[in-house]
Amino acid sequence: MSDSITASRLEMRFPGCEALRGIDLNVPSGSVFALFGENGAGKTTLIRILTGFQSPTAGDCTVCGLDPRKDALEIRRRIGYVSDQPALYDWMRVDEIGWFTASFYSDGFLERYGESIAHFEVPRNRKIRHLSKGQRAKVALALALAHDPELLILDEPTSGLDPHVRREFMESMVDRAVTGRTVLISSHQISEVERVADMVAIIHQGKVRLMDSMINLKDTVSEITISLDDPLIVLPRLADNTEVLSEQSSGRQRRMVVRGFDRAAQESIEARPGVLSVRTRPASLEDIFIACTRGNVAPAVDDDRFGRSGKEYDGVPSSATGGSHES
Amino acid sequence: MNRSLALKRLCWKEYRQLLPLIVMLAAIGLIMQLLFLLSDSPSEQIETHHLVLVGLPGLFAAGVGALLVGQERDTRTLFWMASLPILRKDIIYVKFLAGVVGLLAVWMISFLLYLVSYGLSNGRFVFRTEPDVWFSFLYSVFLLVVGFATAWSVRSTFVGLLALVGIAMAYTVASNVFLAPLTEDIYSTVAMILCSSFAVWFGWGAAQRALAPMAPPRLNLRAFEGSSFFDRSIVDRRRIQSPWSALVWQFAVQNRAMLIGLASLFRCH
Repeated sequence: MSDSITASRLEMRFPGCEALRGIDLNVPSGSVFALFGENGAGKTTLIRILTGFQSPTAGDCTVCGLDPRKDALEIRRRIGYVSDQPALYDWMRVDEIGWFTASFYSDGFLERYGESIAHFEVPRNRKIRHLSKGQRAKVALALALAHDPELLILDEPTSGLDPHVRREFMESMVDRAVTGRTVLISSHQISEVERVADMVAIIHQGKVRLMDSMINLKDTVSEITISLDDPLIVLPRLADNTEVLSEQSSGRQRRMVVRGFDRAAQESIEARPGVLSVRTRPASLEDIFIACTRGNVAPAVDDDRFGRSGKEYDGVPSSATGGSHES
Repeated sequence: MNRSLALKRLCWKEYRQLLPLIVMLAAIGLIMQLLFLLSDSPSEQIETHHLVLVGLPGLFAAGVGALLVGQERDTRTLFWMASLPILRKDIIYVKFLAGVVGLLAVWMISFLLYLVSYGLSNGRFVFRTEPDVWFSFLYSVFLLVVGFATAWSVRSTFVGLLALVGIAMAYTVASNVFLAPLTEDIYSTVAMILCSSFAVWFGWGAAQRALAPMAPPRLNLRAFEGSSFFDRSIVDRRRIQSPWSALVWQFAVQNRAMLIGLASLFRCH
């Protein structure tokens, strides 16, 4: 399966701020790819680079096999993009903006736009300035979908939409993926995107902290709660194929989000003197997100140390006390 | 995509955006011409009617860049346009073309109002189309191209307008010093055409840059990381003294460019 988007060591530096610190990303064609990250993590900067609005400081990327720096026009013809704050001509009517935009795309745009508008129940002859925030978002979505783009990039697309439309919209993304179209969604609505995404990437402080398929994440990431009779007990070293995404200690309880935690690892911890109990449960995507976005990424000068897995990430919060493993 | 259809729709959009300005100017022109008809003095009437004739296109020329470029920047619709598969140069051409056509339309409306006013006056004021109307036309074209150039090159619409006023004043001063005072002689005409050509060239570059992908800062900023220059915080430097001082600080910082521009204008004056 080819990739709709590739990014390799993408960096973007602004005065006093490193927005992207070496992003590596592959978005497979025909998938719904969710991009998560806290505010200021670099999601919008990444999308601006992919859509050709911003040139990166370093690194390479392709969108639909094209370089956004050289082929921005062709990319815009082939993708649909909805920004987090879509700015539309507010003096135009809903049908006028569709008619106007249709002239820049191939035949069939206006028909599909009309269908979307009818489906979203937005009044056709109302001026954009008289629409609610949610209705404006629907118009922006209808415009982005009307040319049936092979890649749809959505930056916080559902803010302002009511839960019914949000759910319906998210589910329609799955239908797009089934037909071979690709959808990249940047969102904070983890629970909603979780239901439809095939792949997930979590960006933290300008780096991809975690990228995997949703199935893999659900199968392999667990939340472990260990009760101890002494908070200073040193836990056994976990196997190399496990990855501690975050660890917190509170009194005599230690809570970790771990990737690749298996029965053998659980037994080795349970066998340690002083360990009272080990409870595991599958981590939700929200748990994983919180685990990945806690703490600081090390300085970018040490880029080579950071793989996509982020094994050397300092996930232990400063408030953690005494959480330790054998080295 | 049909490019000619796309260009037609772009023209339609610009026309719809310009129409309120043209209608408003026509209404103002009509009211002023009618009001000046009530004046008793024929000599005053000649000047005032003539002032409306050349003033309306001047106002349009000064404001059209701010309307078609500055306002679209402020409302971010320009960037929505830039996200569509349209050639950058098409957006720039169509905006400029719409400005020129609009200017011609306003000149025609202004002439029409002048003629109507003359007809209604029963010969009380002398019909005057002296050669300086041609120079006023050239001056309005100069204002239009400089207005577009400043609108494309300056992010703030208001600061762009201030820059336009400053450039127009500077041209007038220079013209008075080095050439005949804003008259129709050949040197002034040539100077005006040269300055307009330079503004077109400069504005074209500014427009291309405004719509191009934002370039990364050239400075190696890593060298400055952790330095006090980027880390300094207003909280470290100042104490909040009163709500008034905070409001004054907010006004001064937010409108820094405008205040510098105004100060420069007063200084020139």
